[in-house]
Amino acid sequence: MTVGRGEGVGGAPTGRLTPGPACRVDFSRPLAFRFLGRPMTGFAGDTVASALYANGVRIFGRSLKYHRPRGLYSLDGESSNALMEIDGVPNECAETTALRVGMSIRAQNVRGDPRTDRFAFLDAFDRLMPAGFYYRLFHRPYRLWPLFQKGLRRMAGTGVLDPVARPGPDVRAERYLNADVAVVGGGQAGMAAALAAAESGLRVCLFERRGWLGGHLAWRVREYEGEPQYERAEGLARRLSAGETAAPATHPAPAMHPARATHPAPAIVKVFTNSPVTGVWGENLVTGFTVGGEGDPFRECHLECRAKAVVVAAGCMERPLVFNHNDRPGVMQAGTAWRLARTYGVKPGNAVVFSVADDLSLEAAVDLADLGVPVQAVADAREAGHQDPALGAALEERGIPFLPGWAASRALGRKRVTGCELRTLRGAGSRRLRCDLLVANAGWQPGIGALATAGARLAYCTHTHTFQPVQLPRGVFAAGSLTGLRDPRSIEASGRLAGCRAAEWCLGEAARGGRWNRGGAESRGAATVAARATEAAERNAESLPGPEPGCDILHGPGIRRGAKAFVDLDEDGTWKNVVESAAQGFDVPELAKRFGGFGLGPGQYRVTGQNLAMIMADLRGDPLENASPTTVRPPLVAPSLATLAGPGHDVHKRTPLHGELASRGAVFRRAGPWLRARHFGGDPRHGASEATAHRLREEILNVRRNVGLLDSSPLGKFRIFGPDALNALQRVYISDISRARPGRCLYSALCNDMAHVLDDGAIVMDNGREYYFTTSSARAGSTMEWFRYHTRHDGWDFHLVNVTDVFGSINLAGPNARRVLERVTDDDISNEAFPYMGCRWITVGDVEVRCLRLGFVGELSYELHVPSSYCQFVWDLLVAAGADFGIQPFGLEAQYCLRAEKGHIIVGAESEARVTLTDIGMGWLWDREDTVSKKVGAPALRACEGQPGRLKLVGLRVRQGAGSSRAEPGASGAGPGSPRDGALVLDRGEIVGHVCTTRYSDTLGWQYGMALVREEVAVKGGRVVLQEEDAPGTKVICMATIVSPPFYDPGGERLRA
Amino acid sequence: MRTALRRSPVELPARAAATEQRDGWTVVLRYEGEERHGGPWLVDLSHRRRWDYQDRNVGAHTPMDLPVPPEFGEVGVHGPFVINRMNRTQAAIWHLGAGSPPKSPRAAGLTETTDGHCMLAFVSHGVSAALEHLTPLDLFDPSRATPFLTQGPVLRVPCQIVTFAPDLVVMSLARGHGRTFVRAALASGGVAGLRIGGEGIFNRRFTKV
Amino acid sequence: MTFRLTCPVCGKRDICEFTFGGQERGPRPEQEGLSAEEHFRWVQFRMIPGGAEPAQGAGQRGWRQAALQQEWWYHGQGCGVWFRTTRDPATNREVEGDGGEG
Repeated sequence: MTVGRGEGVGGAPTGRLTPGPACRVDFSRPLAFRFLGRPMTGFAGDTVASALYANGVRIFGRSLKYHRPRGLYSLDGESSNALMEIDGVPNECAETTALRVGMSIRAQNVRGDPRTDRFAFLDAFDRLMPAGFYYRLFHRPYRLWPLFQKGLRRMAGTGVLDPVARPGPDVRAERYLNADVAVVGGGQAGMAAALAAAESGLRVCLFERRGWLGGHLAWRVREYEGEPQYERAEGLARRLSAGETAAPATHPAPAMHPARATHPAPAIVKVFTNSPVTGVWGENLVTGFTVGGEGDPFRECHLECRAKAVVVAAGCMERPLVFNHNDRPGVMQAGTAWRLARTYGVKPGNAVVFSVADDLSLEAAVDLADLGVPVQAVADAREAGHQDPALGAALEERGIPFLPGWAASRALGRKRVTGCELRTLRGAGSRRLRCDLLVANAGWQPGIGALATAGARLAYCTHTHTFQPVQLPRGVFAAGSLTGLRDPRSIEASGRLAGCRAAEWCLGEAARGGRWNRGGAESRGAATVAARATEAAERNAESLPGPEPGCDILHGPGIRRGAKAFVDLDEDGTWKNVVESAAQGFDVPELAKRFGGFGLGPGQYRVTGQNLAMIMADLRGDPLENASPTTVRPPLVAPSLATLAGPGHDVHKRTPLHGELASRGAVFRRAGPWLRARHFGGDPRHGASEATAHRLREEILNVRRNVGLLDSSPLGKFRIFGPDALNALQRVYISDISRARPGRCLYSALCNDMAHVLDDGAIVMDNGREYYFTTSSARAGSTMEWFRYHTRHDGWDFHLVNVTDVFGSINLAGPNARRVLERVTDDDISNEAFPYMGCRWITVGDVEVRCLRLGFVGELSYELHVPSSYCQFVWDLLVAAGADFGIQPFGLEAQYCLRAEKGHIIVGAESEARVTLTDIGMGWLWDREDTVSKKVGAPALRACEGQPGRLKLVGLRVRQGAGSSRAEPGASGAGPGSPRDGALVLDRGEIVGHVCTTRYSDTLGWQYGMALVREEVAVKGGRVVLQEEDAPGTKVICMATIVSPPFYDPGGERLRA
Repeated sequence: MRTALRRSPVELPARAAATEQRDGWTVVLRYEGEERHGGPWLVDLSHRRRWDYQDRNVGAHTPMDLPVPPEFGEVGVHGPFVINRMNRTQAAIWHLGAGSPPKSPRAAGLTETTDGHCMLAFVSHGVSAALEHLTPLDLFDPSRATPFLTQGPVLRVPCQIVTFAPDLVVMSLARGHGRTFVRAALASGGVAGLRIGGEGIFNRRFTKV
Repeated sequence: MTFRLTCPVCGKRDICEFTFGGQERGPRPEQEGLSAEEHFRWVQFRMIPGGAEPAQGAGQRGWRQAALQQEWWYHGQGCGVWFRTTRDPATNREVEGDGGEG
């Protein structure tokens, strides 16, 4: 993930500077790419932005509202200026995207070439577009708004997403990290913090958004204490990677982890480069993502790091100077010009003027001059000028005019900078200079993003003139230049101090944590050691220079109402717009942000935040210390949505017979966590509904007339045992479970406290202290939870084992079921030996199988609970044995119809949250005498008894629609013109209920249904109207008679045969 | 009558180079080309026997002559057996050592759950990085003494995970999830080089535990 | 927004591993002679943490002051144990030291 260094490799190609020691571009590896179809060449190590700039591209795109030309302003994605379409993907940040060979790059928000955009005339109409104009104009008359909206959308906006294009195959990964200390920022302070924390034996993760460590040291050649700063950064980085690769055995066994001797952690500091942090969340969860480079097996990888402590050393960025035409291509940050030259070997300009307000920018001017970039003049908004006299001397030595108390007031040139106007901050001094590059800033502002998302309270500091953390959340520490420090020694010391404090915090947590942090005594000892290290680090930090004074310049001198001085580049928000916003009453930053859109663009608070707060305080006449920042929201840097969506694995459950069913043409559907066979044969989604209906009818009739096989493995299966097992069952089930006997299945239902039916199933007693029971497949997952919840105050001694996955389940159903089963077992399964509702252990081909004789589908049927690994074996035996009879598998859809003909309910289909057990005609299950077990649902059943106006479940004989034999799986009725599930039930024009399930039955020869209707209508023989909207505006109406289920085999002879 | 054949919940997308019939299972000892890379490997151990043991005073018992560890999350290794303390009343027993599988004893509180789970081993250097792509759980917490048990979600599926060493982790999950879990694990873990390995890889490593 | 809970068996875990079981409202009432009113009060009624009235002069922040409540949580993705914890729902922070097991 580290970028190759181009040091000394070859000479500089045309247009490039001779590579210095801090250069990261390898001029021996050219990369061809295209910009707007024009062939260009960059080099390995270039970003898209640096390559474009090196190829002479100065206008990168057009602005959102005014279509003003925009150029390279920053190099870390601080504004939307350099958002481009790369290989068909819009809104890619050219500043942070590494150049790859063959890339095709286009500008955004332009018609044609960004140099000659057709909408450029809009800039002249800026007076028609004051702050919040889209809230105030175009809305009257309202009917015209969609028209205006369409026009605005076409002219304004950023990238265009091609809805047809499919991105190529790219891997989105996710990675979860557990650490003691997470460090945000891999600059000098971040590295020092990580090293300090790792010295205490803690697990440390460090996140750096750039491809290399070192922060702003990485490109500085100035010497400190006899060492160039980039070398200092490399030294720290080497120490970090040494920790990472150190053999665990040679690493000193830290006091905190006595277990580590036998369990060495593979790495001490995990360093993630190319990995911006997107936010710090509750309990110190740090999120971010890694951008995959050459050799990485992913395009982007989402990162989540759970840490005990977080050190934020995110560094600083430049505060833009607000002056007239400060957005012209050719106006850029000091760091941008500097890094173009030092990091990428690109000559930023041929005549450069500086208007800056801090020492680091002065150092940039000196260094650029040394690299052969002509610097015309350096204006410094600080009246006192430089802090470091050596810099003043260096400028003088190079013959560069230095103008303290001056700042840029205007950039000259229509499409790009051709000159600039400098003025004195006080008085009327003014001069014009020719230049093609104007480096401008108002000093530095801290990268407060990570701190703000962590919940730190920030306040304006009148010494550094930046927002500084005044209150940090638990376990969060700030370090480095964001705290206002400028001296490299101070920055490193603050990092070390923060690292020590973070370590002390972690060890303190461990010592406090008790049982969940084993080794309390050891960690107390380690905490003492860490406390001493912190004290030493504190003393060291105090001995070094503290935060340096900052600059409070609000805008360039001589700004007037007509000025096009941008506070926000992304949303085209000018100083004038801020004034307008305040005049309209939106005079606090949070309001102005919404009204004028300041800081709502991709750059968020970075370009805009502090300037907006300072200017607004000034306009209100408040002292600057009252300035308040707008809320910073994650993601601080935007990952792609595909990365947030993650790898998207569909991890679901499959039955032991899945492969077998699939080979027989099963069409599967998700049912809870399971994938289940819906039916066999044609899929209605592929226009084969007739074939599907035919197959479904065959499946149903084969069960009714012959014998079928159903894979019902997802059925919940549980073992419950212990002295209080019966108590628990009595509590949860509504029937008297003490009636359960060995070898018999007891059918019962389970209600909630409102007496709504949640589940039904069979309970079998194995012995006095042990039972086996089944639940519907939907309830299997929550059964443990339910049992334990409703007995949580009782302290009962019972144990549950979820054996749902231990046993697959095969339903053998149909009049020939016994004849098939007889062929595969030697056990006596005659009707006398194994009657209806019986339960037996039988041996099928050496396999012990629990067999339940139940009749959900209304035929003679056996439910075989087979150990999962043997399911295929037993299935094969049954299929072979039933071949003569024409045994066929059937799916869920057939089962749904078969059981409905029999009037058996399915929870959720024929019951809902308005009806109780009694309402759906199953009140006979309730053991009403039992008040001792405190049955869940019993008091509610009692309360609802005799309540007027309740819904009741009734059977329907639908009179129209009969004769059509079309029965589509799923939401099927008897074909077009007949009602479907969910149709309304009307009585004398009034809605009295709805149809739960209705199907045409080939077995019966008529269409049956089950409906929930008001009690007064639920009279046998009564007639109701069924109505539903087939399509909007078309009603289907038919008549139905109320009958009582079951419709099929009401006497139950077939079950007992 | 035909011999009863058993099926593993997972089918690994690789060609077996050496197999063995054991207790009805077809066990893949080695996959083709598995030695061509240095791991980490994913090994299917679903055929290994497992039991659930529950009792109000589970800590005072020795099911199958194995002492139940006193602390939650503790793991005892006794020859070929591993016993995990899951909570106040529950422990799990895994037969991980080589050799013939033991018969399931009939004992109160003991339930054989071999067929209810899919069991997978992650073996070799690089296991920790591979698992970081699958779960937020802290499976290598240096403050816990190995081996230790973690119960929690891997790929959002509840799992029982035993960390034996930084290069050996064994996990057990509901059998139904097996196939899609393994596919997802190989895809996500593949980013960190996770590949399919035969039982031999696990056996060689487990003898050192 | 993310927070963690301390499972008495597994330790601190991410909130997404747990299922909420509501406030602690005592054992199920005896059903002999239980009126419907009493039953539904037990089933449906909840206490507002810290009491219904805001503290004097504290404005909207008043209720945040003493907002602790005892809650049941189920560690469904982990050990499968119901446990009780005391938590401030305004800050989502647990009170350390609780952790009774169900």
